[in-house]
Amino acid sequence: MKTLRAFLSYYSPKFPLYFAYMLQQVEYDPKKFHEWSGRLLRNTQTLQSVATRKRLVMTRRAKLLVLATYGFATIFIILYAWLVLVLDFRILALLIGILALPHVSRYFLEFTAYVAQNLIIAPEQKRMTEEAARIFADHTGVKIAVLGSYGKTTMKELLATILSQGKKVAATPGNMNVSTSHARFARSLKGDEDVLIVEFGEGEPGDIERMAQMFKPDYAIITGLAPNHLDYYPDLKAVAKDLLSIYDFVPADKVLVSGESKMLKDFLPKAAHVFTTGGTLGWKTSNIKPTIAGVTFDLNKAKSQFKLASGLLGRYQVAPLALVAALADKLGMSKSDIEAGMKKTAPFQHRMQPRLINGAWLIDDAYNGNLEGMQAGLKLLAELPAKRKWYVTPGLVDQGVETVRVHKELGKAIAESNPNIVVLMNNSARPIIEEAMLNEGFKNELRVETNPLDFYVQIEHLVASGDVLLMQNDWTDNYS
Amino acid sequence: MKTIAVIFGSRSAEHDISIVTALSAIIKPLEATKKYKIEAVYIAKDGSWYWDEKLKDIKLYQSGAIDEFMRKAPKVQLQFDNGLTLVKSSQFAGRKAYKKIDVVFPATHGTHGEDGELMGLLEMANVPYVGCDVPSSAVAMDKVLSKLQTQAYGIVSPKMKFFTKSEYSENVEGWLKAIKTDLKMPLFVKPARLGSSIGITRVENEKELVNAIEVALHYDEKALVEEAVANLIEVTVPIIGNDELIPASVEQPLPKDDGVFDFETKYMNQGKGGKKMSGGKAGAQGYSKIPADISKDLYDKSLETALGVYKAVGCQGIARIDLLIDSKAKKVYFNEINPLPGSLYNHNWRASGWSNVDLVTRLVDLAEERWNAKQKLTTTFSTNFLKQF
Repeated sequence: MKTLRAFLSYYSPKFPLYFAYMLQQVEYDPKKFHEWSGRLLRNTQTLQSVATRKRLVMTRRAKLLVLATYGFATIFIILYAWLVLVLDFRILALLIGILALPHVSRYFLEFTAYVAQNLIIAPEQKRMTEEAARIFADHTGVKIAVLGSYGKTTMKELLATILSQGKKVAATPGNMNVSTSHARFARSLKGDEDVLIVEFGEGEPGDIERMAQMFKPDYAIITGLAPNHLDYYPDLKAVAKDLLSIYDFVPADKVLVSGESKMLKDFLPKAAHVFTTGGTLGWKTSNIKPTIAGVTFDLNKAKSQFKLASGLLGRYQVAPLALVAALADKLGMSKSDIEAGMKKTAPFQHRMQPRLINGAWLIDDAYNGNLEGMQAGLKLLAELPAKRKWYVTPGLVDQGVETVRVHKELGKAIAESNPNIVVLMNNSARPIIEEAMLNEGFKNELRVETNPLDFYVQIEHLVASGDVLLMQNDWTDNYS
Repeated sequence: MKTIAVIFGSRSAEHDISIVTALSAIIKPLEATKKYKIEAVYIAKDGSWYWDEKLKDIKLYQSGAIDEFMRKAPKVQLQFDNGLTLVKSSQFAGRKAYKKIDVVFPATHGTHGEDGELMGLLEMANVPYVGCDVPSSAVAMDKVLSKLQTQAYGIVSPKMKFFTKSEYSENVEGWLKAIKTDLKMPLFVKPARLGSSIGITRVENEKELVNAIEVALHYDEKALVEEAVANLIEVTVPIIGNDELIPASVEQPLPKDDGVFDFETKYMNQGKGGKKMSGGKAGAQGYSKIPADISKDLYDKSLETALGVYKAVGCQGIARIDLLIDSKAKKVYFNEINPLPGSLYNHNWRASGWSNVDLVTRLVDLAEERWNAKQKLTTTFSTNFLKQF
């Protein structure tokens, strides 16, 4: 029945819309689209099931693709109808044609995306990045690059929030971290900014080098290393090599590296300047107090002391917060501006963002997609006082050959945090996490949900005053 | 998987509130448990019964599409087969759809439901059901009976007079004189058997009293007139349990400026400033302080009185007891008891650490525990009586 439903779903008149949605979700990458559609067929999922979390956004490119697919389908039908008329086995031929239509259209769409990528988009991107490189080279502001497997957007927003208290700052918007978004950012600059902050997103080998050549940063901050994008990097070492290539463009004393990232430690040069929960750049932290309302701590250097309070959740946030405060001091900001800027830092959407639901605290960490971030969240969950603690996750995606190890580590971290109720989603990661949890002696309640979205809407009925629920990572449609 | 029928709506002034209670406070949490199959059974304002998945969607009622639904949908028949089975025509070749019910969750407020009528039907069917049984529901729904009953257990309530419509119309002057002689203004006039504060009026003089009695008797055949409590603090205590009782927090509703906590305040105006204090939602969930802003002594007295009322009336499953406190005299009076509080008063239970799912699951368990205990009783008795004829 399931197979039949999946088979028939391809014959919905809306099939070009679903294909266009899939292509949009993988940023028009024909290779990723090919992989997703293949997986869909193998898993006997309906075509409609792909658009669970979002809907197709009708951008110009999406409209063109949808129209092209409908156009192609129409021409295919006309030509095929003509062909059928001249054949002997008309009924059989007609049947084959109808059955083939959506799948032929899918390949057409894949081919169109491939051609557009190579003949139109790539040359346009090259022109844009050359123009951006000229703008950045002429700019007199302090240029800070933020890179790493995780925590980039948070770090960038922290820098922008705190430095804006005393300086004119421009930063790349949202999590726009590819060359084309950097080029659009360069075009938007007025030229009078004191500080420019750009997030570097690594997707494949050589990305960091290309971005550094364009931006030419004065400072670089590496937030951490995790086995992400291993579909495109052969191994973790290759990801580390790509991130550390920033040393070829920025003086070593201006490359500030997270000392909290265990995986990064093995690859760092001996003289690397690290930032940790203990402090950085000669500053030392003390009196750290994490609560559901945020974290407070002191930052001391010689006779100087900052009393800092941030709305960010978790002890682990102290490392980046201390770095930004120290950097702000280095860039000449006053104590009062740094303390005031720090007070303005608040959780970002879906990143350790606390929300009160029916008297319970829900910590929304749905955008957390790396092991170290998840381990840090679990440590906070263990530390917070609560009558009942919940932990909800589907696991991690894009872990390549590291998938089993990462999920075993996650299971271990869950067991160590020991929430009262753990909710896992019924997917490929679930058995690995579950086994690791049980091996580590987890004895509390374990629930397995088949439909994450159903569970999310039911949360309000499941929690009560005194509960704390930590929800980490949410698989997007192409991984579900 | 057990099947639970949630019955709501009914011929009651609180028909609409019942829909919200059923859909948001009962059906959704029960479905979230993934332990039960939920059947929605809707009793229309004309008393017709319907059973359909579509009835779980609030938009059906909000949009008015319920009228069109009722025009087309088959009505439900009930089959008593040492249990309860819902039966309806499937509209295909005369076939009928049957659904055996394991537990019933009544969600009706007010008349023809909360007052014990529905419970009587469920007793006849011998099916487990949530909440108070027939006698306790009937007593609880009657403000006069519940006060008389609790007085017998030493629980204090404001001084009152009560009468039926015919008693009053036969001797209006006599009743007004008796009220003036025996009771001190200001007074409250209430229909005896209506919930959600409908038809209640506070009166300061005789002219207002006459009008208020007319209003009360417009809604019910029986009315009561009682003295207002001075230095008033209103509190309410939700309780669950059969033998072992569990109270939620003592809650302090916030009345309007005129001191009346009426239907408008409860359901339409989101209360008075309570939203910020309780962090609750709109409507019935956002008009109060939890826990009540009273001394520990009064808090404990309130809990004690509420538990006493629950036991005196013989409630089981769930109820909410409303109390009146004279803050200067430090005296707690019993006001009324609601055998099925709107939305199960789940905002208070959540504030007391019970999630919606915890609450409905426990209520279903309590229903089954009571039913199981009842099955052990002997209900038949063999005699030779018939042989004599």
